[in-house]
Amino acid sequence: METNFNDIKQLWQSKKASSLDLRVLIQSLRQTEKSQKRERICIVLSTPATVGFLFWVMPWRESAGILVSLILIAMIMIWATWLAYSSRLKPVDSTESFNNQAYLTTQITRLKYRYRIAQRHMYTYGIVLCVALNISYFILLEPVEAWIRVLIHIGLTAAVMGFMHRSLKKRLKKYDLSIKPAIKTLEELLAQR
Amino acid sequence: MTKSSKETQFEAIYRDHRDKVYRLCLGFVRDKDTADDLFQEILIKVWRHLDSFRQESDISTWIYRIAYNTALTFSAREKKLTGNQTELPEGLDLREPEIGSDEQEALIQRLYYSISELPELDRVIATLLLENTPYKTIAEISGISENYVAVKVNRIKATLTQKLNPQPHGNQLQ
Repeated sequence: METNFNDIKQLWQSKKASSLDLRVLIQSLRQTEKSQKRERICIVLSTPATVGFLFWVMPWRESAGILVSLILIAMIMIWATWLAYSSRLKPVDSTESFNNQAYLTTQITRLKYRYRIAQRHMYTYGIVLCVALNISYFILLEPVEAWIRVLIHIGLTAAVMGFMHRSLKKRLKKYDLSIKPAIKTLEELLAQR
Repeated sequence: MTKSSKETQFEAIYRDHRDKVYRLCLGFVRDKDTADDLFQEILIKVWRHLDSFRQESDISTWIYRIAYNTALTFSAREKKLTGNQTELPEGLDLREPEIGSDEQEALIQRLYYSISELPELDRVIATLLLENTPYKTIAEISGISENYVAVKVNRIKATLTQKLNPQPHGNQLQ
């Protein structure tokens, strides 16, 4: 049997990779790297830019309510950026530092985390956003008649939460077809050990 | 690390390890085009992680870790796309070996197919074993004990030898 397995080894090792044009490969790797870096920078910069813009246009010095509202918006935006960064945009995913077992465990945790973000955390984001916007509108709409104010508050809340719910439902549907089966397969792989 | 030194290191890794990594791909997926995709994905990850390589481990163990971890998630994605099909893939030449130049290629195809039929952990061990990797390194990469590797190796050797040897009756791949 051993001799026979040595033949199999020789057979296996006889296969060589067809050569690639390394220069072209490296060039495209560098381009991908650059565009990913740009994407990360844009996401990281968009949060302070939006918060800065809101602070610039809103009369936060005149009202403590508006200030609270802006702080809430800034906090949830930073939190959402952190969620996006930690679940998808980290430049290194530790593929190289784990053995198979540890790698599978981290991959499962990571995928479950992504699913949980869409299932739970983004709703929290929507609720806090609604609270913050309603605080601002409550102050800004002070001169308007009460029934109009109530309608605007209800309409605003329904629009934000409705939009969040629709887009999250769509995302979860996509995740049910991609992330969930992947988690299941990875768990099966882990169970083999 | 400067740009040029990263490129030099990547080129050296590619030169020294491409055949092993490519064979691993062929053992993990069932057709050449998918193996090429996996090969490229591994190269991309090696490039992306090269800056974080700290010389703490042997470079081949480091590359194998990337390659096998990528292959595992790739194969999980592929399984999701194709289902748990066990039928023979299109284009796979599983003809009986003939005397002549086709014989070795047919045997190689049979070997890939036999390996791809193994459970994923066994595939990792089988492909490392076929590259003469020591048990200690196999254990480090797969995350199981050396003793368990030894047990698995015996079973894998028996399975592959049986599948690659002509049977007097019936299909060799049964």
